[in-house]
Order: sequence, then structure tokens, then C-alpha cells
Amino acid sequence: MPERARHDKAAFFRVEGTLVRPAPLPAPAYFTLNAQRVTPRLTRLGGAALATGLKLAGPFKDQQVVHRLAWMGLRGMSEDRLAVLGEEYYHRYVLPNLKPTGLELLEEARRTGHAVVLLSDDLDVVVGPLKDHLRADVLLANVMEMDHGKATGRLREPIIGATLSGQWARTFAHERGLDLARSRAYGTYHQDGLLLSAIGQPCVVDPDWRLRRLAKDHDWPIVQS
Amino acid sequence: MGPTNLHALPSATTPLDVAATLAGRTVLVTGVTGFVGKVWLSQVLHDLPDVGRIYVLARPGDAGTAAERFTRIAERSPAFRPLRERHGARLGAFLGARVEVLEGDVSKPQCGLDDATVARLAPELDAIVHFAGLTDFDPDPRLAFETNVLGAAHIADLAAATEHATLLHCSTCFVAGIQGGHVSEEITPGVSPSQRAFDVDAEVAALAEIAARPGHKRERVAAARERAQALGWPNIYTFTKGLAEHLLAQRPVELTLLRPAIVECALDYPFTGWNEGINTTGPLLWLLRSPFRHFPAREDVHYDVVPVDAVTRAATSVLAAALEGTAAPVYQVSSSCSNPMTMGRGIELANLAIRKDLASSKASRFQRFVVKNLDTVAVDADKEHAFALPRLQRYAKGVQGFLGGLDLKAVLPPAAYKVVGKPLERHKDTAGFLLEHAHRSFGRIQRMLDLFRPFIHDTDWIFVNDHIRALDLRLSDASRARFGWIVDDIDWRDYWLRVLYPGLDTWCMPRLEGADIPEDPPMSPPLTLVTADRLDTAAPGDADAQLGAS
Repeated sequence: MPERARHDKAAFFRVEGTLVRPAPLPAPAYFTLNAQRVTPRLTRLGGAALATGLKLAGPFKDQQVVHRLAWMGLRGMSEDRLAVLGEEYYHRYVLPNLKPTGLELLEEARRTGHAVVLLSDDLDVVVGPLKDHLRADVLLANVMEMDHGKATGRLREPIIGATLSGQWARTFAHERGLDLARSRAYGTYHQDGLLLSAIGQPCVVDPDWRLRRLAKDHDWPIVQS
Repeated sequence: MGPTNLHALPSATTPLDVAATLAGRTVLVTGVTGFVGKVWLSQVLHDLPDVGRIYVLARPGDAGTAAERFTRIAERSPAFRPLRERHGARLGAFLGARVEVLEGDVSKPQCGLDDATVARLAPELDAIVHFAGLTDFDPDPRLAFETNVLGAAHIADLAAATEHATLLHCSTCFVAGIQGGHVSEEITPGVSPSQRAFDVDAEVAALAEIAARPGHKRERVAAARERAQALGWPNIYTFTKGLAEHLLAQRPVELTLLRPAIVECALDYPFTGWNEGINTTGPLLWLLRSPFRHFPAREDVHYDVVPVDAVTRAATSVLAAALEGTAAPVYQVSSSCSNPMTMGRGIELANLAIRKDLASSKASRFQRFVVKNLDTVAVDADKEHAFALPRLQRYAKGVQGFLGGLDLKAVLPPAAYKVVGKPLERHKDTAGFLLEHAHRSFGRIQRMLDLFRPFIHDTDWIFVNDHIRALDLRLSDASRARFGWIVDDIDWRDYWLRVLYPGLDTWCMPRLEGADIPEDPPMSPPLTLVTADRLDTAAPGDADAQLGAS
């Protein structure tokens, strides 16, 4: 792999919060609201709303359940619609909400020879163009499972959840020959805590109160924009 | 049944070099004023400049000779843009060295050519490529018979009168008729799509009799349609094209049939998105773009679209195979077998293309709201939904009748009538007019949908295209790059959003709305075909050099 040849350390950036400000309308809700037929828009929006509520409500044991719930509303949506709505969402809510602070950190990581790894719990159709736009080396995002051109509403494994474990980071680093001790990680939400703990040089960006507390406990640098 | 394993098909071992096979060959082509013929000729002249003489058979236009008509096409049609860009002011010399326009008419015996011309062509012609045809779904049988049936017969006669010319006849996949399922690349003369044996000559005579009937077109249409449906063809277009195939198959000519499916916007040649005339997808997209939201179609029916340059590439490679003597009898230029797309996906992609377009265009707020929030959905044409057209027509008529019978003076108290009576009367009249207009529009749309119904609702065809794909494998690398099979590599989402919708929006929609399609600007100096008799030399290269030097 080219990354392996060029880099032995990486900078992991959580897209949500660190690089992109939260959008007023979460992607699952946007997709559901723009389904082809009116009935699924109304009936499935409930699932997206519930998932958003659970996510915001705080420590939910299994964040993957929240994810599954959020994206379940897309069941039956065509692959074509997903692609077009993803592009729309990217231009409407992702691109205009890029955070200058996050971009500076990303630029600095690149300057210091880190492979830039973007982590997003959104769909690839939503954040995919970010990889080229930010000239990242790797983008890990969720992929909707398709059956005959229609979304099943399930995410394809491995699911990039809001919570990524230290084990995940170690496996990822091992597969790509990265030295985690010399790598960096940037996060914003308390769910990023596990990932940050596993990386040698963690950093929090505009953290929520739980992550701020964790950062203070561990003496991690805090960047406030 | 999916696409065949082409490597298992028997084929000649040597690669087919299209340029070498066509170099120096003499070809007569018809239908150059039409969509496919125009692109084919332009592309052949662009990619195969070493081709020998090309005789263009054309009718004179309303305001000039056939040569003037062709010259105008070469000068103004976007299909010839790549040639104009390449040759500039020397295009006249380039064309003059290769193209000779023959004034004729395929509906006339000997294609309207005099005996001397036929005698001149007889030893010279290597191939006849017959694109001329009437593609309206429900034309006057008189016109359809003359162009599609008699035209084919006369072209076959002309081919038979030559010493060795092979005939490539452009038909349509939809000659398969109402018999759905997998449609193979073959023809059984005298067996109709409904699997009935029929006498081809008797059927041609019967259609000739219908075409010759005096009186209103409507009666001829009804009689021809009845005859078509009895044999298993859904409309007059497919009937006449089918009959032509059966007729040609009986003639003593070396025949190759080319059957394109729905021919639409160009992928690359002459340039991305180009289209001409009102084809199948244009009216359907126009309808999907209107506030009309229930579309009578079956989602799982295959919608078989091929870009025009895929058809012309196929036509050229098939012509080379025919000249080499290795062509199959029938080539279906289709996508439903090897890169299928359904009507449901077509509607979805149309919705998405319209959504993208309206987001950035001049559409009214109401139109944007409707299109963005109420996507068109496919509905069963046999069930009357709340917004089904017949029902909308009845609503409009009912409300119109109610308003017509409403006497405001009698209903309103005199004092109220004095105050609001006049403006209300005006509104009532306007509403009545609009409802009448809506009623008529719904009727027109319904008639249009009835024409399209066999293709989007009633029958599901999968046109096998093994022959063209096998031929593609036989092409040399250089030939494949220019004339190879490109349809299997098409990403339909990209095609609909980037090519088809913008192409139709530019080249077709204005025509549907009664506007003119702009031609390219005239050349300066105006294009003049430098005909062979004005040159001393016969070889195309020499002619170019001579004119270039002058």
C-alpha cells in the first residue's frame, strides 16, 4: 500500500466535530426527508429522530444501536438517490461547515509526515468527497448495504461507530505498519475517548464537557477554536 | 438468462481491422438527414478518412436540391461539428473528395434514381447502409408504408441491381412485437411476433391498400393498427419496420440487420449529450418534469437505451464484418441484456436529474416545491388512482360543468352580487377557460402515454446482444478504440444525470415546447461542396492536396 511505504505514523481525525461543525439537520434525517415517496418520509423520520435523541442524550451503551436505528430509515432507498442526496448534503452541510482550526491541525499533521486518516460515522456518499478535498490518505466511513440497487437500511461491516475502540486502532495500525506511539488523534466528543487513549499523541478539539474532563485528567492538549 | 459467455461463441480468428476493411470502399447511405444517419456519416468521415466514395441518397428539401440540403447539414448541424473543427475552411474540399449527393427518394422505384445512375453505381457499390425510416410511433400509415416498407423494398432492389453490394438495414429491436422476454438475434421470415405464420407479400399488399385509402388519416391509422396488433406488433411503427425485415429477408441480397433499441443522447461523438428530434425519452422526461406525479409504468420493465454513438460505432463495425463476409444476420444494439436498466430506475434517475436541474435553474417556486417534495412515482396503468389521468380529466370536466351552470346572480344576495359579482364572474370565466385547457392537456398526455404504454408498461423485453459483443471481441485494438462496444461500460447514473438529461434539456425539450433548436452558426466563407467533376483527380488524398494548395 502506498501509505505503508510513505508513512509509519498517522494522524486520526474524527470528521464530526473536529473538522466539520455539526449540521442543523443530521444526514439520516436529510435522507429520510427526501425519500422518493411521501409515506416513508413521515413514517421513518421517527427512527432518525429517535436516534438523534439517543445520541444527544449521552452515554448509550451500544452506540452501534443508535447508528443502526438512524440509518434504518433509508431502507428501500435507491443507490442513485443515496448518491445524489449525499452529494447535496456534502455541498449544503459539510463543505460550508469545515472548521479552520481543524484544517490547520490537519495541515500541520501532513507537514510533520503523518498519514492523514479521516474517521466518520456518516455514510461514504456524504463524506467521500472530503478525502480529495482535504487530500487525506485514508477515509473510513460507513457504507450502506445494497440489495439490487436498493438500500437494506443496514450498514456494511465494519461499522465506523461514534465509538472506536483502542483495539480497533491497534488492528488498523498493525495492518498498515503504523507506529501508534508516534501517531496523533483528534476528537471532539466523549465517544472519541477510547480512540484517543490508544494513540500516543491525543488532542481534543472544542471538546464536549465529558471529553474536556477526560482530557484534563490525562493531561491531553485542548484546542479551542 | 444473462449475457452469453462470448468466448464460447465461434468467431473468426483474425482480428477485424475496420479502417483497413473500409479503406477505398464505395458505400451508398440513406437517412443522412435523420438522427442516426447523420452521426454515422459524420463519424465515418471523421474516423475513417480513407474510406472510398460515399454516395448520400437524399430527397430535395423544401427550398433546394438534395445537395443543398446536405451542404446545409454539413455546415450547420452539430453532428458535423467535429468535422468542421478539424477541417475548417477546407471541409468543402474534404467532403467533395469523398461524398457525392444523389437526389433520390427511397419510396420511389429505383430509389428515384435514373437508369444511368443505377448503371454507374452497379459495379462500383460495395455496400448500402439504409438508415432512412419513419420513427413516429403512430404515423399516417401512408407515410410509414412508403418510407419503412416500400423504402426497404426499393433499397433491396437497388442492392440486387448492383454487382456485389452488401446491404446493412437499420431496423429496431422493437420489431419483436408484443412478445416479451428474451428476444434473440434472428428472424424467421413469415412468422409474426404472435407466432402466427403470415404471407409477407399479402400483408404488404394489404397495408398498401390501407395506405392508399382516401379520407381521414384517423381511419387509416385505425385499420393499420388493427392489422398490426393482430400479428403481434403494438403500433404502426414497429409493424412497418417488422414487415420491412420480413420483406428484405426474402430478397436475393446479402443482408445484415442492425436493430438498435431506444437511441438517445451521444456519449462522446459528435459531443456529449447531443440529440436530435423527439425520441422516446424526451417526451417521457417532459412529462416527468411537469407537475404530473403519477406515471403509468411498470418499475421492473427494462428500459433499453443506447447512446447514438454506440449505435453508429456498432453500425460501422458490423459494416466492416459484412464487407469481410463474416457478419451475423442480425445485430441487436441494446443494453437490456448486458447492462440492464429498469423503468423504475429510469424514473428515479429522471426525478434526481430534474431535482438537480431545478435546484439551479429558473424554475418557479411552486415547480421547485412540487418536484422536490413530490417525486413522480410509477403506478399501475390499469388501476385508477386518485391522480390518474382519466380521473383528473373527469374532475376538470365536472368542475367546469359546475361552474358553467353556476348562476352567481341567482346564488348571491343582490347586495353581495352588486359588490363582488363582476370580479367573481371574471374569475369564473378564467377558471372555466383553465379547466377546459387542463381537460384538453390531460387528454393529450393520455394519448401520448397510450403510445408509450407497450414500451413502459405492458411488455418487458430483454434484447440479446451477443452478436455485437462477439464482434467487439474480434476487433483489433485500434478498431475497438474507435468502433468497439461501449454500452456495457456505461454507468447509467452518470449517463442520465450528466449526459441524457442535460442533452434532452438542450436538444429536445425546447422542441416539445414549440421552440426552435438552434443550429451551429454558418461557416465563413459558406461551405461549398467541391464536387468530383471540379477536380482533376479521383483519389481523396490527392483532391485534398489539390484544393489545399489552391
